[in-house]
Amino acid sequence: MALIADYGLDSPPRRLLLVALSLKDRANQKKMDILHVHKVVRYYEYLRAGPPEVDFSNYDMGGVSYEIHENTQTLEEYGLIEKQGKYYVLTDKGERASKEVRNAFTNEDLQRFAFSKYQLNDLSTDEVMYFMYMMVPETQQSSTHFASLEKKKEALIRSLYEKGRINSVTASKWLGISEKEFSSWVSK
Amino acid sequence: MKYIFDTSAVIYLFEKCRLIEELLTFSKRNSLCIPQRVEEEFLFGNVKQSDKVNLKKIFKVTHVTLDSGLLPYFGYDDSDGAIWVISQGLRNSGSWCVIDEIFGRDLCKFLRSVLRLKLRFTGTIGVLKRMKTSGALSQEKLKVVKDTIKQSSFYFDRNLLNELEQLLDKGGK
Repeated sequence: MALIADYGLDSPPRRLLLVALSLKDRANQKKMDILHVHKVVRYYEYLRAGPPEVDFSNYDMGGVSYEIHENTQTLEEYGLIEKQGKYYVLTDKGERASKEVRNAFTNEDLQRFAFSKYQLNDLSTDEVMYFMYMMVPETQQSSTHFASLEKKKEALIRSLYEKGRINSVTASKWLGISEKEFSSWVSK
Repeated sequence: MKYIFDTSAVIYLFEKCRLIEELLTFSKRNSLCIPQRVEEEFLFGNVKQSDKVNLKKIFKVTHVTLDSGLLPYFGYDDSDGAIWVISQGLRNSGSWCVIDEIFGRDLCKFLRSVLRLKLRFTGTIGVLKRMKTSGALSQEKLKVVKDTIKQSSFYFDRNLLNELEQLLDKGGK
């Protein structure tokens, strides 16, 4: 537990950051760019459906957190994470720290966190942004990006469906058509 | 063997490909089940009375208790037949979930490989393969099935269509 005490890792944004970076995505990759860090943590909060552990703002990109942003810099300064190109990864010390902080999560919460990264980390910027805007509609409020993505919604929904990130129930709802109409539309 | 079917598999095999006799033969040696939700989905709209009768002859409609742990993965919406199929599959680890939609299949992969849950899944192609192996489906009929699926306006993942092509090339083995 030494690392938790030394680096204040009982703070929710730090715990969430370390665990997000410790999980593997579909391609067995752990690395994440900053946008995907924000979105994976936000989607995990949605899946958990409990009281929010970190504050998220719905301005600008929607569903991004100043706390996450600030603590990313702090963990980098502490040598727990490092930047490789545009991606963040855990250092060896960060890996050890992530194992310690995982104990603060229930098994169920870790499963949901793993699912969040599994579903989102390999999506393009537009796909991950649109997925989150639609999955958590409150993030559309005050966003400066939603309107432009909405113009491409048919292509984005098709892509998310074909990549298995949404089912036909969700896709047809987002398109505002019946499931039967959706099935016919997507087969074209 | 016990199979729990999602709606799309029932639509392909039963409604689009009309494998009524073949499914009846296959059901004599295998237990073919559909959750109530899948039955409701299938019967929604105009379904002929004779199809309703045959559906009951082939598939056992099962009352499934929803695994609430799956709800977050489905966006807290229980209207997708796959959530009921997977709920039943998790309770009966010896049975096969028959799911075609990529989302449902990927979720099964996640539950199995990442969460290490005991869950078996296949799709329409997997069932066709087993029907062919068991002698319930002829090579000629399999070709008709492939053409029907290809011409159908119903979405079918390209990878699964390729699997069907390969199955035909190998003579269904």
